[in-house]
Amino acid sequence: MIGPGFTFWGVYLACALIVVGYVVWMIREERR
Amino acid sequence: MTAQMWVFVAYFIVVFGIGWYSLRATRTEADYWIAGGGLGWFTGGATMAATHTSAGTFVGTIGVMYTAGWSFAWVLLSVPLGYWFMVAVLAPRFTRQRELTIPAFIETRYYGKGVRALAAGIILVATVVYIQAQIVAGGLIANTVFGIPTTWGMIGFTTILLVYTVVGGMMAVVYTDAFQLVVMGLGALFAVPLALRQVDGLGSLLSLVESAHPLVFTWETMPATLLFTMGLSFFLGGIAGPEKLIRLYAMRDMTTIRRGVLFAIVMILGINLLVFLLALSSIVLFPVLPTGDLAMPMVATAVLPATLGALMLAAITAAMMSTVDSLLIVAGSALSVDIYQNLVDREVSPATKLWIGRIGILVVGSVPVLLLLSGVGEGELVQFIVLLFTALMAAAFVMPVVGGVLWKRATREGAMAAMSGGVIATFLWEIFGPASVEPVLSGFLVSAVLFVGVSLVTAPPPAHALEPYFESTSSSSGAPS
Repeated sequence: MIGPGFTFWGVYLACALIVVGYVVWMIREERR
Repeated sequence: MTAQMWVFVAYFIVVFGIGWYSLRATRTEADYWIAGGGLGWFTGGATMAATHTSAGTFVGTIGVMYTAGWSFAWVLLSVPLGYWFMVAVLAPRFTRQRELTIPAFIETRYYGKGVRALAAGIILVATVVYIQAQIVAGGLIANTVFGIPTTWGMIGFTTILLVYTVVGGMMAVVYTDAFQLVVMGLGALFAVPLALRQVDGLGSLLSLVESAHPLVFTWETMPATLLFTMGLSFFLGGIAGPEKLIRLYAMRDMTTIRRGVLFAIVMILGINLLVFLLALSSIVLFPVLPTGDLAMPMVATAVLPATLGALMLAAITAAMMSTVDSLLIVAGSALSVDIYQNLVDREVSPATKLWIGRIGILVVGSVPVLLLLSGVGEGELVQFIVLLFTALMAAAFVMPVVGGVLWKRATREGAMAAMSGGVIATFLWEIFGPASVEPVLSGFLVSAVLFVGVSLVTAPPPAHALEPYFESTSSSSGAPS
């Protein structure tokens, strides 16, 4: 096991991915 | 006076200053209820984030994580997804016609005063319960900082809240929210490094937490059904909470809404992720607390230096006040605009309307503390009440609001059945259902089935009810500002 593993870091990673996804979506909406 | 007291006095002076400024800037009813409808992305997003972040975040979340472990952190992901859905799917249609309150939207779309009054009634009752829970948390903080009895703390906080909300309306709420968000951010930002230093850094924290609480990073501390339905509750509550929807009317246009909600999402995630680290630290530093809800006050008083501890307590206070003031606006408008002006007295001058609004807020703001003083609804489980409120809002409003702008066939009778059935099913599950499944699931499913079923067997809605939301031309005209 890598430290406490994915259960811990996964939350931070998933939050970052959601924010990146939102920004990409927002930029595409504004270009339309 | 101690350093703690100075921090709080300075904080209250700023809040009153903003209230006074807002009183001067408020001229119309639209100023009072939706801050004129012209907020930019920063103030709009800040008030969204501050309203979302309540005492539940700083006291309740830490409490749950202290006892149940890290798996609860994953529930956080449902929050940004709920907001994203709200902005992408709901907002473009919902904001085509700007209203002053959410029940007013319900009347326009569902062509009836009765359905509007029902929505207002649900908001009023649920809000009073929610405000109670937050004020109890405020009373405990006042007890810690000023050493006064909890009861006087509750009365004091209610008075402060009412003064600036009654005089300044939504303007005061929005600008104090922006300030309070800064206080919350600073509190969390300064507290985390200090707490981490006490436990020799992040790496050491994680292994210390695991040895103090071996199951902390596993999925065995909470039933999967409970985690999933809690997530569903925050997702649906994020979409259709009236205190969130009204902020869509308060922001200038769709571009502003998209940017504002991005800012809100970043702030909500940032504050929560920092608070989670404080929860882990408290497991190591105070392994044997009688209740998880004490973890945060312990960090603030025993870990941090006096001034920073005061800042942390101010952050909890800010979280509490910025949520309650927004709910006061929602509940006050439900009472004075949706119930009094809508049903009792329609012919009043604009100046009188403002005064009726102020009296409405004063009334709904006094009820929770009066109930508490007479011993009704005294409970300490802050996060539990936050979840019940969120479930009620989701069960009552997701289908009528989202379904109303996406589905032309939705009828008034369908909306009334969905609201009342959803609320009843939520309460019944809360009382009789198993605790491993949140009541939002039954509430939302009953609401959805009734909404669709009753709409299909009743007469289709008239054209004038659909026209504002289903026309192909998109504009935010009709603004009362």
